[in-house]
Parts: sequence; structure tokens; C-alpha cells
Amino acid sequence: MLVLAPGVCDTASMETHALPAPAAPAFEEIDVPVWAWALVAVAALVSYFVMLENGTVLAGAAETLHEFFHDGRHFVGVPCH
Amino acid sequence: MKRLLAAGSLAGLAAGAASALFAATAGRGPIRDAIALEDSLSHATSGAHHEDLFTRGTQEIGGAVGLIVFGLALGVIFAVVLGAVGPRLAAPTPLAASVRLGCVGFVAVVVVPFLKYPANPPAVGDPSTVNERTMLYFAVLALSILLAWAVWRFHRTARLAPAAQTWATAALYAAGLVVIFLALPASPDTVEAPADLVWRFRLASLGALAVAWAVMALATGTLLSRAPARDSSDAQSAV
Repeated sequence: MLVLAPGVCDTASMETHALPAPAAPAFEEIDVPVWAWALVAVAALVSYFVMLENGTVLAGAAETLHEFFHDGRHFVGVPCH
Repeated sequence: MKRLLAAGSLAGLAAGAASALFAATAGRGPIRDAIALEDSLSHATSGAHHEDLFTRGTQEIGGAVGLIVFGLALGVIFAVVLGAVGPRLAAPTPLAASVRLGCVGFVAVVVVPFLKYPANPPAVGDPSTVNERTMLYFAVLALSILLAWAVWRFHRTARLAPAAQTWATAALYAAGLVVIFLALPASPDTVEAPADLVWRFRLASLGALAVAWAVMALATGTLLSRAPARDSSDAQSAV
């Protein structure tokens, strides 16, 4: 266990005071397989197509995608025309 | 890992749905006003009304679908990153680990880019600068995530007195932010829409993203805190 980091969102140290015996075990060490990181890449790509595609990658379908997801793009705060 | 991904995906869908609901209520007004303004401006300049690809209703549905898909993608990324860094977050429970990562992620991925290049409603962006603005947005996003990671590494590896370490970590983060904010140029667009409209939209956008991150972090952590189901393919790890 490392020294608790007093940070912006120090919920962990608050909880240690509130709960003397945590009900759930601490976060266990797990192996993150390569396919999980591949999934991250896929998810990032999906976000790109939904949110940022302006015609750089998809020339023809881009405008349709862009206009369909238009409101969502603005809410996520990505640049838009 | 599968359990973690299932939790993240479910939490991401819930987060996307919650932010879509927030956007549909708090953000609908500013978007409609901005589009009305855009239409009146294009009437004034070109005299012709450009043909819309989708109706407003379809775009509102598309916006909600977009936020839900985005939430799912974010949930998957969040789950994998949580799996990788979770054990090193010094959190007593999986929920605390998830909330910690959620807080750091929200600041690094949403707040810092927002402070440099805030969200804009329709009618504000200049179409000719969209590629430049997209690059700048990517740059601030990447630098912000890199800074958060580097400062976290520093905090974990530096061997200073605890108080000095806290101050040094905070100072390093602040200094990094100053460098990012000074190094990147200002947005090339001039905002001519009324500030009131622009800020109503910006707050709705920030609110929708805050809702998404809060729901995602809390839901992922809560799902992970429940008694682990026996997962034969994931025998050595309960999480």
C-alpha cells in the first residue's frame, strides 16, 4: 500500500476514516491482456468516428455521420463547423 | 478482466444515457437558439437557405445516440485503464479506486481541454478552421493526459518527505498546465454569437460531461464492489 495521495478527489482517505473495515477488498492486481488494449484502440476509433470525423478519413459518408451526430459532438465539446 | 469490461461497458452506457438526458433538457434551448441565429445569419449573408441533411428532430436523436455510443466507448477505455492502474491508486475499495480515476480523468480529459478550447454551440465555428481546431483540440487533450500521467509517475516514484512530495506534485502539475496553456495558440475563431448564448451552451456541455463521468465512475466502482461472480475464464483474478 502506498502513501495516500492528498489530491483533489481524496475520497479514499475519507473512506478509510469513515469505514474502519472496508467491506470490499482493495483493488486486486490483474493482468490486462493485449486484447483489452486492442479494445481500447477500437473504442478510441469509434469515438473518433462519432465525434471528430470531419472528412479527413471518410470522404463521402463523413458528412452524413457528422450531421447525424451533430448535437452530440457539440455537447462533447469537440471542434465543429 | 471480463468482469471489469462488463462493468465498464454497462456503466458507460448508463453514463451516455444520463448525459443524453441532461443534454436533452439543459442543452436543448441553447442549441435551438444557436441554430436559429445561424439561420438568420446565413439568410442575411447569402440570402439562400441551405438544405439541411437531417431535420432537427433527427439530429436530436442522433445527438443522444452519439452520446450513448461515446459513453460506451469511454466506459470501455475507463475500465481497461482502471484495470491497469487500479491496484496502484492506493484506494481502499474498488469503488474508491474508480472514483479516484474518474476525478483525475474528468480533470485531464474534460476540464483542462475545456479551459483552453471551450465547447461552442452551432453558429460559432468557422468551417474553414475546423481542421486546425481539431488538431489543437487533440494536442491539448494529449498533452493534458500526458501531464496527468507524468505527475502521477512523479508522485509515485519521488522519494521526498510526505509534505514536500505533495507540494512538489501540485507545483509540477500547475507548472505543466501553465506550459500547456502558454504553448498552445488561442482558438483561431472569433466568437461573434452573444456571450450569454455561448455560455449557456458551454455550461450545458460541461454539465453533460460531468454527469457522464460521475455516473461512469460511480457505476463502474459499484458494479466492481459487488460480490465477484465466479468466472471460470478469469480464474486467478476476481476483478
